[in-house]
Amino acid sequence: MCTVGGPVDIDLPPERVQGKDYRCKECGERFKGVGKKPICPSCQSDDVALA
Amino acid sequence: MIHTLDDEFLLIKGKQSFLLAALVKNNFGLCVETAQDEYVQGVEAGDLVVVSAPEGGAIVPALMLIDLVRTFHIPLLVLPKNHPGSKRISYVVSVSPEIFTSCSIRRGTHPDQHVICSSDELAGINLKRSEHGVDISPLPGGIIPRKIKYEIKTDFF
Repeated sequence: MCTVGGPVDIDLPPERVQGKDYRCKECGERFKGVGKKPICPSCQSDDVALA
Repeated sequence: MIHTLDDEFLLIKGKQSFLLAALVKNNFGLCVETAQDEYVQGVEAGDLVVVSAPEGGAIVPALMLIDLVRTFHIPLLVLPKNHPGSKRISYVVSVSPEIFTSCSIRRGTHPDQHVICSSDELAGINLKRSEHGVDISPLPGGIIPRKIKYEIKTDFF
């Protein structure tokens, strides 16, 4: 079974997820994006730039 | 082995647990909420949404969970490591072009979308998006994926 509650856990600390700060050119929303193709969570535009 | 998918779901059922996979229909920003921050992952049409039920159970909640994510774009919540609620979670979900199943992580505590908690009988499976479907390897012996059609209909009267 899965090791829920058990002692074993592979090392995938949350800190490993490093987002980059983006700003949406369509709606101005600022967000922390991960992955190769950032998309604005508010208006779903992919017209975003590093903030 | 590549399994073609359109709107259907693909069920990979073991003796005590199951995985359910489907394709994302359109591009969207998937919000991943952790205790510290919010991350937005760009998701593309054709990426995979996979639900894992490490202890098995009903399939309908897994079908609903996939639709909540891929159709209604609900945010994913990530519990802090060692959170006591982890053991209550019977269905977990990941969204990514490629997802690896592992029985060595705690449910609901990893924001990384390329890995998903599974039972040991379904651990070590790699699910990867392919043209018009999903490439699954290796598939444990005796398990034959089945397609499921599912649609939520609401009649007002």
